[in-house]
Order: sequence, then structure tokens, then C-alpha cells
Amino acid sequence: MKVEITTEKITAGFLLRLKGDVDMNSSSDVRTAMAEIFKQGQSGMKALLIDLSQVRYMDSSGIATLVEGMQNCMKTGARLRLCELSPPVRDVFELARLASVFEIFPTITDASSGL
Amino acid sequence: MKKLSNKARLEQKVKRLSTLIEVNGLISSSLNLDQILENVMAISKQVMNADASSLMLIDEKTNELVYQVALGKVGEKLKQEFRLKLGQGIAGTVAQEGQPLLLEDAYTHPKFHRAHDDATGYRTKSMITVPLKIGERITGVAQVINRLDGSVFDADDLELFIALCGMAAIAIENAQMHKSLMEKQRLVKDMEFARTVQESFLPQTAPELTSCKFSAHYTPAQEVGGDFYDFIHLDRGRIGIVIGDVSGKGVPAALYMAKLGSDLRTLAFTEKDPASALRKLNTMLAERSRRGMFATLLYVELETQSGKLTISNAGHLPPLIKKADGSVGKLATAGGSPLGILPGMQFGQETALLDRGDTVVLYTDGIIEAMNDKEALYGYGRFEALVRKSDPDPEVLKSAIIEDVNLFTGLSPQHDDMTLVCFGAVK
Repeated sequence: MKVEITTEKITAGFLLRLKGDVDMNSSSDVRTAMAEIFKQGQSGMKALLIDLSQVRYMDSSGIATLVEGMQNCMKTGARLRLCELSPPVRDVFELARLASVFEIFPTITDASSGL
Repeated sequence: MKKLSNKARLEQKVKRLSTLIEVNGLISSSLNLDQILENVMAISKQVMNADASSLMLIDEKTNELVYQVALGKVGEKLKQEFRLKLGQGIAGTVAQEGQPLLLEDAYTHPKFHRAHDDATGYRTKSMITVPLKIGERITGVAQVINRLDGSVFDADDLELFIALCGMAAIAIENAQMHKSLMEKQRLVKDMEFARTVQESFLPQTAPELTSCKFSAHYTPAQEVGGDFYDFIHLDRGRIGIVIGDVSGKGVPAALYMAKLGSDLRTLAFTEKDPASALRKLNTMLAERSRRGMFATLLYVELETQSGKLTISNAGHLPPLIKKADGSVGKLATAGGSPLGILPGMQFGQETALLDRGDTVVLYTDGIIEAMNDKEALYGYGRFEALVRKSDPDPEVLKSAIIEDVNLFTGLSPQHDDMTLVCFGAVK
């Protein structure tokens, strides 16, 4: 299954929704979508929210794409916030101790506040 | 119109058939596409008594027609300076609609694009344009322009040119398939080479000590992966044991692994303990991060006489310890995040004691995520149960795990490397 990506403009910046498998084969699509957001957002973007509730599988290439997104956000002073981690994503994050590197929120509403 | 006697018509038919046979021979004799196309268009030009001929292929990236062959007085200029969008001009229209077009006077056609004539000073009159097709897919167009005898092209010319273009289309397809096959073969060879280079970074043998026993195994996945392990002889009484997994696969992961491995080898000697080695390594990697690549890594320092273990874990799967009494537990469960994501991260470390008969098992996720043909995972439960019931000797335990995983996966190709390092105290 390929990944379905939707991008939405929100008050704080952008909301990226991912659905399906974020892996070796599909992570380049996610990278392209994020590059487009950074191009559009330029320096005015406060945050990039990523909704992971519909992600069925994520491998290390998928995580690397999120890491790259976070590193790019940091360069422009924006925040990368992950929300609604699906159970498989939550497992991967717990196993690899990624919770301490990413900002993770239970809901999109939570992630949108305090920016 | 040309007026021909029956005999002359017959002679012309024979000549055209011979041409088709000749072109067919040309096409099957070589896979050099440029040469074939040049020859086919030269023959077309000659047999159709045309002043100029050209062949254009569709560039799929830009959806433009690009000249491959342009024969005639202004051919070189055309080749260098012109491209056509699909739908633009006669050639662009034929490429878009897929129907051959015979024109007695090109200038009367509403789609005729005069820019080429204007730029070259050439005067196009009669022309035939034919799409190059493989099934329903259009790959380009070919044209013959202006008969040298001043007459116009007719239906017989069109029929012959369609036949010639049919052959040219097949030749193009064959040559492109051959090229892509060669590229694939080269890629496979490059990957095989990358794999041997990657494997050369791994220790060729496990350490041999009187107090401790070591055993390691590495099964590469189909593609080059990013697993690695290492044994570092720190001094007479201490040995560093490393296992790690770089994100992603392929040559980038293997290169990242190579650099990471050599950096850690240096830091293992210069830093006072595993936690500080990982802290420095993390910052070094994070500062030159590319494409978000990161690695999970476990670094264990073993004092070989006392059996004291100091373990620092950067997001890697916690190792198992099988105690001499048969119980199995996990070590270094409270690890830090993977390496290379954020600079300045801190890493903790924990100590444990390796008693005589205890065995530690370090592994990568390729073991527990090994998949069989029904897409079932080997799984952590099966892995732990096997460690529990197997003989604790590091070599025997390692072989038992690999055998069991192989039995489970059968012949299913694996998508991730499988790496296993076992060591234990024998005194």
C-alpha cells in the first residue's frame, strides 16, 4: 500500500496527514510533500503538524523522513509536532526511544495550542 | 501526380519490398540505437526520393519531441535548436493524435509550424508524418519532406513509410529495453560490490580469549543494509562490543555505517566510558546529518577478567542476558534516543555482572522481524523462548537462533539484515 498525503493550511502553519505505509518506497513522497510545505511556508511558518493516526506501518526510512522534517523545521525556527500516533507507529517510537526527540501530542487540537 | 507504367509500378514495388527487407536486416543486426535510426532514416530518404527526413522521440520528462535524426541540408540546425511540444506543429499533432498524415502542401495545414522554415530558410512543401507506435503507445514521429523530383508524396509512399516506421519503432523499443537491462545488470553488480565492501567493515573473526567466548553472525538482506557489529580491543583487559542498525537501506546506509563505525572506534579509545563515547558520536553525526539518517546503537564495554559490563544504549533493542540458572532478562532497557538526530543529547549507561555461564545476546530487528512466505513475523516471543531453552554456549546459542530463524523463514527473501552477537563468561 502506498502512502496517501494531504496537506492543509492551518493558522499555525501546515497540517500534513499521512495514510498507509511510510517506508523505503513511499518516504520520498512524504519528503517531497514536506519540501513543498517548506517552500510555501518560508520563514512565516510556526509549526508543521503531522497526523499519524492513519499510518499502518512505518520503517526506519519513514522515521528518517520525520527526522529530516524536524531538522528542517529547526533551521527555520518552526516546530515539528507529531499527533495521534497510530498503535504501530507508537510501538516503533517506544522501541527506538524516539519520544524524547519528537514533540508528540494526543490530538491535533493539543498540538495546535501553545504555539 | 506521378504517372507510372505497370512495369515501372512493379519495379517500384520490388524496390520497396527489397528496402523493407534491407531495413529489417539492419534493425536486427545491431542494438546501437543511434546507428540504426540514422541508417533507417537514410534509407527512407533515399528510397522515397526525399530531400529531407527526420525522426523525433518523445522525452517523457518534458513531453516534448526531440530530434534523434535529421537528415538534409538544415538537419544539424534543426537537431541542435528545435524541440516541439506535443500538439505543436504537424509532428506534435501526429505524436498526440497517433494518426499518419500525408500533406501535398504543408503550408495549407492550419497546424503547420513555420518557425523551422523561417529559421533555416528551408521551404517545406510535400511531407509525410507517421507516429512511431508500440501497441497503442506513441514513442515519437518520423517525417520525410519534399520529393527531390518536385512531385508530391502519394498513398504508396505513405504505405511504405508506415511500414518503415513500424520497424523503426520496434528497433527503438528493443534498443531501449536492452539499455535498461544493461543498466539493471550494472546496478546489480554495483550492489554486489557495495555488499562486499560493507562486509569488509565487519570483523572477520570474533575475539578469542580464555575468560570469555564470542560469536557473531550477519546475514545481509536482499539489498545492502545498514546493520553492523564490531569488537574493539581496548586494552588487555577490556573489549568493546558494538551492534547497530542504520536507518534505511542501500548504499547510503552502508556508507553511513562505515563512517559511524570508524568514528566509534576512535571514540572508544579517547572517551572515558560508553555513555560519553555515544554522546560525542551522537553530536558528530547530528551535526552533519543528511536526509534525517540516524542509527540505533548499543555499545558494551566488557572487563574480561571481572565480567563487568558497562552498557550504553542509543535506541537499540535491549540485549538479552541468559543467566547460568536458565533465567532470561533484558539489559539496558532505559536507553537514550537513536544517534544522529539531535546534537547535545545525553546518554546513560548501566552496569551488570557477567557470571560464569551467563550469555549476552545482542541482536538487530531483522531477527525478530524475519518474515515467512505467509508474511508472519518470527517475533520477539519466539526469539526469547528459544534463548531460554537453548544451550548457553555463545557459539551454540548463536547457531540455534540462526537455524530457527532460517527454518521459520524458509526460502522467503528477507528485507532486512539479520545480525546477532553472543558472548559469555566461561571462567
